[in-house]
Amino acid sequence: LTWRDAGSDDRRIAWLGLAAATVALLALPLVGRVAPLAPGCWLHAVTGWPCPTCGSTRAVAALGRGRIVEALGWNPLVTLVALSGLVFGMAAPAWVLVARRVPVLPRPWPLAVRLLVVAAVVGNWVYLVAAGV
Amino acid sequence: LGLLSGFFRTIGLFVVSPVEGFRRLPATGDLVRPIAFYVILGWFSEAVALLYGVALSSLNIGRMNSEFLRGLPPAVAAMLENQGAYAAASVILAPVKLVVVLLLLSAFFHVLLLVMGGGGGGFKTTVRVVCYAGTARLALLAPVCGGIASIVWAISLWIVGLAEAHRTSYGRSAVAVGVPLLCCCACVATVVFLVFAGLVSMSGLPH
Repeated sequence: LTWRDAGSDDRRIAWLGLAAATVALLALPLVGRVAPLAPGCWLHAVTGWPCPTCGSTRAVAALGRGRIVEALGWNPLVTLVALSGLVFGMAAPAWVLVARRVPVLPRPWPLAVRLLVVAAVVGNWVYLVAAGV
Repeated sequence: LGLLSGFFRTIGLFVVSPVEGFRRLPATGDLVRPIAFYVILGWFSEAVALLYGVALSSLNIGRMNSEFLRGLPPAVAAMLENQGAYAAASVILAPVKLVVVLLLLSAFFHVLLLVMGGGGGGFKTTVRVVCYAGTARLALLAPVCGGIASIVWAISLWIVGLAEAHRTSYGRSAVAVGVPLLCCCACVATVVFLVFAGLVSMSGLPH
């Protein structure tokens, strides 16, 4: 991991992140109310097996009610990514303005990092199948 | 006038010769123009598509009797009865949805590209590709079949765009686009839809 000075595009992406996080936070408490309108997962309907993001709606609805543990039970990976996204969105503009530096991941990613991401997705999927989400 | 002609020339380039268009994408530069292009085109096409939707379903809603509506879940029945108002709120809030979808799609595609060993052009290049692939939203101007045509066109533009702009293989690009669409996006798209529906319901419309 290396660091470089933040440019104007980094600042714009940071503000976009804040806008997206704010919208998500505003709408989060209402997700449970409009959830009945949502279609079901087609993969689950066809095969009976959950897809890697099955339980996302229920996890987000639980987050909207402030129940983080329940959300983790529905889909741990989506819950963690959603929470990380909210934290990133809220903190990004302040970070860019104050620290003025942004992290740069090596490209292409090292094999270990790539395997870690795949393992996280597969592990999450195995959990969803085992838990019968 | 220059901006307007540039807007139409960009549309022409990505309609007629997308490979060349994505090859010419700058590796550096600002994101304001691509995002403005994506939001303006998306907003216009979404408004037209919603207009078609309301016009077509209003033909059917007239035939639905109150007994049928009572049999539906209350939220669905309320939406059907007030769809004009919902459509108006959807159009007003469309830019917000477009930006959220842009960020989510770019993040999905970029992480998949990185996992596949690509993504050398950086996240901003992926954002640019998704923005200009928004040209596919023009298909929404065709009534009835526009939605399906738009999805097929967008998928091909994403694959071509990610491969050309990131200087990676079409295979990696196809996996980066295909995996989230096949495995994940059915549910993630549902969450985006729900967040958007939540925003629309916040606008004070009956629900």
